[in-house]
Amino acid sequence: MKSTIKTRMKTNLDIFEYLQKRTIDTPNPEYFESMAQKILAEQNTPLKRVPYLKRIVLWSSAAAAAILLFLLIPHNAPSEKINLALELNALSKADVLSYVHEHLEEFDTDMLVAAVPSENIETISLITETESPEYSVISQAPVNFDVLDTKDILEYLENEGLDIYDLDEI
Amino acid sequence: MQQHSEDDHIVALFHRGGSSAHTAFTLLVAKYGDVLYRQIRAIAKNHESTNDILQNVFIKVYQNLNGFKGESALYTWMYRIARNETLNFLEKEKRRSGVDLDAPILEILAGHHSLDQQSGEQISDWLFEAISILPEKQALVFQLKYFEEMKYGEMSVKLKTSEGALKASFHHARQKIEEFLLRKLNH
Repeated sequence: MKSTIKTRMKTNLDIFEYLQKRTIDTPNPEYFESMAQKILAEQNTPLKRVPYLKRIVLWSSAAAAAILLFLLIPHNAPSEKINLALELNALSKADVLSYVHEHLEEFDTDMLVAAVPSENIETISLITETESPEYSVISQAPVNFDVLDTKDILEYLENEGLDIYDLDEI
Repeated sequence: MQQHSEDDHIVALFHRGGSSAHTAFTLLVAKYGDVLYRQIRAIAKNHESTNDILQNVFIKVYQNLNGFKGESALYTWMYRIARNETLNFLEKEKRRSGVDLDAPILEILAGHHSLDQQSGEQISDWLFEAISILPEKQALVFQLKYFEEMKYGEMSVKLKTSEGALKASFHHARQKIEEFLLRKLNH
């Protein structure tokens, strides 16, 4: 048994003894020389110099293309601008204010501030929301709580299905 | 020390740029081309792939040599590039069509009960799989010692590492490879 383990261990540890390397042949020095030259040539390819005449032609073509592009892009005709101004003039101040109120959230704050001349700010009435009160203050309690016993109050609350701890939150 | 000063000279020459850089690069390829070729070829297994990988390695060396700070030995730095390039290449090849195999670089000698049942090609594959998962320094030392049969003294100068550390690296690498091969053989 002991000798079997010993043999197995020996066999396992000697694995490199049973591997024979084959020599890797390398190419001749010319191969490396030409590789170096090839890489140098590729890495140092100078930028092609464009002849002067060709450069003029290229720049002229680019300029012509830019002008053509500008002319072809549709622009709004002046008459359309005039029509829009006339339509806006026809609106009453009330219509404009009503539109602004309805679409107030769509406006950018900076745009709104910029639209109002600074000297007129004080004359513009601010639109404010009045909060509806959730409760009213009673100046005089209908019942005199001082005369009520704590036990009666707790009994009342229990009958009404109310919890005193819930009342704390109100 | 001559190894270092020679490498330092090549790097300094390269930093000068222009025709000096050309000369430096040509010297570098002439000096390290063959050893890098063998190390790549051992894993890439055929000349075509080795040629492509080696070319990419030297392109990267050329493009990055100006940023080489000398924190490791020049050869260690180039080996790192070569190893990464080889592994990336093989990964791409595997995805594309499976690795192209030429003649295996290992032969099996008769007498080992498990090895006898395997082909040299299979053992070569496993050996290089084992090398590829070794830590970089151990892989480098193993390749230089096992395939290149480089003396520790020479390796110490080339890699700027003490001989003791190199021996330990080789011992660990060999042990890990043996364990890897045995696991493969027993399954």
